[in-house]
Amino acid sequence: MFNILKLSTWAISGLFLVPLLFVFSSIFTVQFDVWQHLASTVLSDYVTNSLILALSTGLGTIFLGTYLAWIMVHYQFVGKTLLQWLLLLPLAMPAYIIAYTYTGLFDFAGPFQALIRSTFVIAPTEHVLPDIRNLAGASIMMILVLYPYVYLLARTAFQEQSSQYALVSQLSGVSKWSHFTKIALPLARPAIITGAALAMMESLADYGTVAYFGVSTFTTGIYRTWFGMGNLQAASQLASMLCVFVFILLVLEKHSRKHASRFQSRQGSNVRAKARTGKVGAGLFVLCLLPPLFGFIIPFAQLLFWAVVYFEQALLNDYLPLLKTSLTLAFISTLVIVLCALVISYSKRIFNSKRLAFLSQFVSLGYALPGVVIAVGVVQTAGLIDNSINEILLALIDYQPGLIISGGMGILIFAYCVRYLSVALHNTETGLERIKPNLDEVSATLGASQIKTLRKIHIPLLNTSLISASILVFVDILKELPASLILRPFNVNTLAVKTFELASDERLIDAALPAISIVFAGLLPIVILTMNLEKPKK
Amino acid sequence: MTLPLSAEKTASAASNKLATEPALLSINNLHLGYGSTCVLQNVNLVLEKGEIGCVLGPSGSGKTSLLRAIAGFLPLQNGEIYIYEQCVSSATKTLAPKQRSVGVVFQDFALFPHMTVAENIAFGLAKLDAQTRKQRVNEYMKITGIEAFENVYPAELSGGQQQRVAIARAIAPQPDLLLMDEAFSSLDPSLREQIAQDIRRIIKSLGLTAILVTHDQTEAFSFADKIAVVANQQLQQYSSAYDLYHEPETYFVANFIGEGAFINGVVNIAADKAQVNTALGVFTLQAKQVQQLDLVHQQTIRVLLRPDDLIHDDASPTKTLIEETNFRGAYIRYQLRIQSSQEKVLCFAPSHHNHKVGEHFGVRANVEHVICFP
Repeated sequence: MFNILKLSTWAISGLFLVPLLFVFSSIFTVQFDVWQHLASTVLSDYVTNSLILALSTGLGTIFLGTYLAWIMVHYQFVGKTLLQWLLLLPLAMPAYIIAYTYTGLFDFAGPFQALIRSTFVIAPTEHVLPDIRNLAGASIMMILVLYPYVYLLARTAFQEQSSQYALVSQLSGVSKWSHFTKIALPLARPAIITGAALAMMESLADYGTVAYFGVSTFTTGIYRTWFGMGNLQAASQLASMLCVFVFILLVLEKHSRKHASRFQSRQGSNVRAKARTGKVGAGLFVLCLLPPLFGFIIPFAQLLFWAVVYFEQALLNDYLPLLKTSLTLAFISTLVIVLCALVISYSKRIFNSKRLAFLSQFVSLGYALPGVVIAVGVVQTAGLIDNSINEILLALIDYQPGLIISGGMGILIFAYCVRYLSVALHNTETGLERIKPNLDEVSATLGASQIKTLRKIHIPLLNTSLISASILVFVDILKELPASLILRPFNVNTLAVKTFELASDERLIDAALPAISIVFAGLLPIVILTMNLEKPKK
Repeated sequence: MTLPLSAEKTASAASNKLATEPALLSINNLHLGYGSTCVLQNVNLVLEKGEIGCVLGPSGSGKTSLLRAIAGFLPLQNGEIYIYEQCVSSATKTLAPKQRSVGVVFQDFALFPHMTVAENIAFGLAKLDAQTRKQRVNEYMKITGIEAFENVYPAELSGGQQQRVAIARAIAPQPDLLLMDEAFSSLDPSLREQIAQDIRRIIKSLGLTAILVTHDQTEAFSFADKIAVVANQQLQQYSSAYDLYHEPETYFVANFIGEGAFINGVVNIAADKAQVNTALGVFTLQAKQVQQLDLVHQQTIRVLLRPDDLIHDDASPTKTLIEETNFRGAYIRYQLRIQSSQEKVLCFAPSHHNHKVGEHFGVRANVEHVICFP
């Protein structure tokens, strides 16, 4: 049984590793003519736009996330419980959906302009609101939905700072502001940077928003080079360059995470929130309400309005098969991914081998990579596998089955696996870590076989981890856009792809139904997250 | 009974004994390690049926590794472990834990959190039919005094109750040997001694054989019949608590067990007797000691002085400076420096003799049996 487990672990990881290797290897096979062409035309645009997008997202999320975390940890005011929920909701809103919703909101005929025009009596020919379909607009959209990354980590960091630090500062006669800038902020800095690095990775990976806003970045560039110029090689080279940026962030993230754990101590009593009432309390509430208001409430209300008011039977006829495809695809992929994650993390636990640990860490890189990049790698892998199958079968039985993997749903499931395995892996691994090895040993001395231990001890104790892994992966897949867009077989549409297509065709209202379905699905993991966060610690 | 320090001694001890029943556990020349790191070497010990043994040592001394090797979690690099006469571990084979009849209680108890107390205890009884299993579970819950918690989950129990469940679970399958890894360390110190005594009574009343691993000497003294002191990759000594204190065989044991201080002495061997000259006077050495330690005339050795070996006596010519006082209720422990040699010693004095740091008083040594090391 052990050998089968080990073998399947290596087989699964190996299979998922190939697409990553394809992308990385193209770093070393530089095509100079392609680069020359890119450099003389669009490359500088890609680089500067991507960098500006990532940096402004980083700074914006740091600002919002930090002040929100500080207020939520240090003050008690009316409405705080509500905010604990509201603040995380933007996580449910994919950037491309908020982007097109705001486009509709700010539109000439949209509610904002109509309101302003009727209030101030402005000539209908004049544009009263700035155009958001540009780089700055894209950055704002990113910040609005990604700030919770910083908020969550900064919140934990502030919360775990001992309240005695503040007492020491007070005793030394240091002002509250200096305490914040000299003690509290530096201690939370690693956590804040970790969150910002995650947000920046997301913004680099984004395809939907920038494509919709017509901003040239790496992701749109890869798509255009691949499908516009038909040059997969060049797309692959761009992808590898994007990877370099992502890796810089990844290193930053890992490094900060290490620091963060060193700076957070569980010693001493935690910060106790100070009560604020009256105007101050109301002010704090409004200050904290603004980000979720713009990041979730307004666009959500707009989507809901569109979906309900303009509801037609015809839309539903289109929508139901779409929902079925999306759910089936996500369900199958989730099943495969969680099973693979369980196999890998279980054999990591049993064999306790360094090589396996390294392997699982490498396979986890998939999550850091943009969907577009994964698509590039997966297409090349699937092509290789298909070609080999065809060649072998042709030689053996003189039959060519065609593109079995590349041409069907298989490639999409494969891409989801590469991208989201680490999400599941993270859950199954922490779940298994929580089961102390002592339990295995006690079970062994009590005469239980390895299989009985798995069945009676591990699986029941892993239950919650498996469920949360499944939900997270399932929702991530429902939301996924770029890889689905590129890899889907003909006539197969997912909710995300259809939303994007309809929005790109300026059919904003028709896009509302699939869009709001995605948002509703996205709320699920947030409910779980919030319940875990607010659970009183034992 | 057996006090083995080397393989030959074990063999001779075993042959001397009128072998009616083989020892329950015997460990011969055991070597343990991880890769090239050596954890323990050359360990020999024997535990008879019904005895409670203890492995005592500072943290990192390899005592837990020894326990894990006995349980079958850790393969040996060399040597053998026998349970009765069956070889369960050697350099070439390691019998799986479930194939050797051992029960284990861990420091954190490792109770299965998703099972009730009764289910936890029943886990190791899968081979029995339902009726017998139920009876056995009830029997052991009664023995350990946890009948009231039959359907309760471990998280709802106190530390002491959890420990009883862990013990009941470990002994319900009626193993030959019960292994306890720091089993009392996670309990509240005020309850620890009482619980240890209760558990000892249960083990003794069932005639079980057990080994406790601990770093706490008082726990070891009150719980075990025989104690193996492990340190510096070696089994330092394996004997009763009394012998560890009064007849330590190594410098480490003398230093580790109880309180005490070493002062220097010079060996003086005459035709009829051997003595050692120290700052606190002349003590007589036994001929056996001279022989065992290979002492020669004029050799400098270290002499152990327990605090109760020194008596507060103002008439004594040996004056000391008080460096530290430690009030212990009925008596005070003084840390003293001998004026003549500047050596540090400890002394218990009744607490109504209240002296302050910096004062002087005289002491006199009253050593019945000299403990010394080269």
